[in-house]
Amino acid sequence: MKKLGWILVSVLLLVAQTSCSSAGDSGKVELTYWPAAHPVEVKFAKDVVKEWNRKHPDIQVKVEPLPASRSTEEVLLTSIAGGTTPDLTSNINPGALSQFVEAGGMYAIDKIDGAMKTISERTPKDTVESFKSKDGHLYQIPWKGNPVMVIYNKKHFKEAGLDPENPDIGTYSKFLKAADKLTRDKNGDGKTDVWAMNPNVEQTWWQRFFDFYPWYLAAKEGETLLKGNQAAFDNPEAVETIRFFKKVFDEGYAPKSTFKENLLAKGKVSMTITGPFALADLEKQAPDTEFGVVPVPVPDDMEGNQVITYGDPKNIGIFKSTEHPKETWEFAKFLISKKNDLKFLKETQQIPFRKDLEKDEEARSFFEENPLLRRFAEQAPYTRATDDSPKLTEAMEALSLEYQKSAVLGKKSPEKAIKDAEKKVNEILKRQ
Amino acid sequence: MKRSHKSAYLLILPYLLFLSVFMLYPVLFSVWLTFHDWNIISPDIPFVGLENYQRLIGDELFFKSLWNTLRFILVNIPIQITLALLLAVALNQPIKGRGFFRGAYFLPVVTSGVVISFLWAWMLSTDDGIINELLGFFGIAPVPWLTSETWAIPSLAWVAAWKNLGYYVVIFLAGLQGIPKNLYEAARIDGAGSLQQFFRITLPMLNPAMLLVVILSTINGFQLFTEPFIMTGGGPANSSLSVVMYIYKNAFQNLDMGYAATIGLVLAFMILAASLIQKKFLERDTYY
Repeated sequence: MKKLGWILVSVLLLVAQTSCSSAGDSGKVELTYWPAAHPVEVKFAKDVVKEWNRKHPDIQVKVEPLPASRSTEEVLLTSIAGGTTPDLTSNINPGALSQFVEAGGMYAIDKIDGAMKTISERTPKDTVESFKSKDGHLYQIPWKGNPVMVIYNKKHFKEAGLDPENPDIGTYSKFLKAADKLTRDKNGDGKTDVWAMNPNVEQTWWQRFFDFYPWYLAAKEGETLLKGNQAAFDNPEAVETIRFFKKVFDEGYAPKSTFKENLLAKGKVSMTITGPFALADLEKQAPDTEFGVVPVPVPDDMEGNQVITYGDPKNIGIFKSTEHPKETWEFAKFLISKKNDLKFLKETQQIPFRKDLEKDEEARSFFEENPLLRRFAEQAPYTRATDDSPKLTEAMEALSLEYQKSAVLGKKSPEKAIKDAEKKVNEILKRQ
Repeated sequence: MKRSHKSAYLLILPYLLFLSVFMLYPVLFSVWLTFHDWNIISPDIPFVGLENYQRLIGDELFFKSLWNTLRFILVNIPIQITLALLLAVALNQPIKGRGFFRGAYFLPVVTSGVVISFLWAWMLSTDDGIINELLGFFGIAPVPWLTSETWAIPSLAWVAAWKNLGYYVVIFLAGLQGIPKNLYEAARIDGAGSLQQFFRITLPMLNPAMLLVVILSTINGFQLFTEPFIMTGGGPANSSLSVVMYIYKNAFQNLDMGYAATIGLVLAFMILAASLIQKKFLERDTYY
């Protein structure tokens, strides 16, 4: 029996040793930081961390790009389940955050000494307020926004007889008329070679943030999908939005398949619905192509109004599992310092939530050189996030499915799709 | 306890530890979970009785995913077994480069399912996939392999069959090599042709291997996940949503661990039932 005891002791020691290895030995703190897996963001993260590590030998940060999956939220949930959450991540989608908050997974930033002061000095008050959770706490550090707009290929517009500099495609009917001209069979083999646009055809819930949702926000002048804890989108605007995309697919203005390549960069589509994060990749893949940016279209009777779109905000979150909240905040503070915000703007072509950006000399001259990005920056104040609901993913999934059935597959009328989606979303919201 | 017994227990201890930590505990925990509501992160896990089971009975999407999975199995198994059998018989002949072919057919089995899914998703793309390009030469209009409700499941079934083929070829090869040569000799003397030999000797003698392959591919089929997850996302309109993918969605997208565990448990019993039924109907005694 003595032998057995010894074996047990050694097994326990082994387990104890492996589980303690992350704690570090010489009082040095080690933090793990997950940036989004977007190549330019990873490079930015690595550069910032390199500088930080040099200046802070006692707080060393390790960069691990967010593992790829269908969505960031799934990855974060899997890692929470597996107990492998990092100390912080900079790819928090505010719409999905309340799931984590409700479950007690996030660290309340406002409980950290001085954090609120730093944040409110950097970010406009309204923005900070809009990211506060229902319990009044702030669980995310506002970081960046990516207004969703339409990027187009100027050469294609010219070829199709449209004004490449100021295209008049601001309303549904004008947009669709242009789409008809832009969709072309170049070699006469009966197959389309260039499509007008390429909205995603999959039912993945967050894809609707790049077609249905910005269109809906624009048509409803910024009203989001839920009111209280109820679906509030069974209205003519939502129906018209689906009808718009149904027409795009029915008329063959967009392919009904998925692609693994950047179709806009390859010249296979003329327009794409996206945020400024697409610019860096376009520059790399198609350096000689000239692109333009316009806001998403609105219903015909709303022409001329200020367009409101989806802001695709991504924020920084600190996980409750961290053993070093103070040090993690110190690093986050460094990440959102003015110097790094400017670096972020330049390197990733995305827009930090910083109020003095327009006034800054360096940023201003950067915008002068990058007029496309400036269009996005001008749109930035006129954006909305998603509704704050722990059931957002499930609700969006239900809406997305109905959208797909009607717009892409043509199995349902837009009216019926919206009615069914609202019913399903309400069922989901009702379930505890 | 006798001394000899003690050392025997000591020897199996590491495995028992492994088994209890990584198999027994998770299984028991997930059974326990089916009676609870848990969102992974929260420390409180309220007891909900049979609520999860009640919800399952009325859940249309669960039945749809089950139907999808069955459709997948019905397409996948015949393709897989026919091809594996043909290949095994071919590779059992003394042909040139046999080792190379055996290796080549096994390669997809050891390749990551994610990589294979990406590759096939690209090849099966409606508008720029190589498959439709090739079909175009024969005047066949582009087929929406992964984006139509009709084609999504057959396409996934084909990809899964392609990936797992090598594994089943190996099982059949082993079976083939276990068939006594003198049976064929006797048949030849009696004037049996090669087709007759195949249907009268090879096929009946392969019964145990066949049973194994059918059961294994049914179990595999029920566990369908990677292909739809990567290639179709379960769509279009949930037409390729498999049961396991639905479990995943409930667990990691909707944070409904209790409900996910319930579906998992029901699925486990279904697999068990399917295996028992197959065993009963397919197993015949093989006489040597």
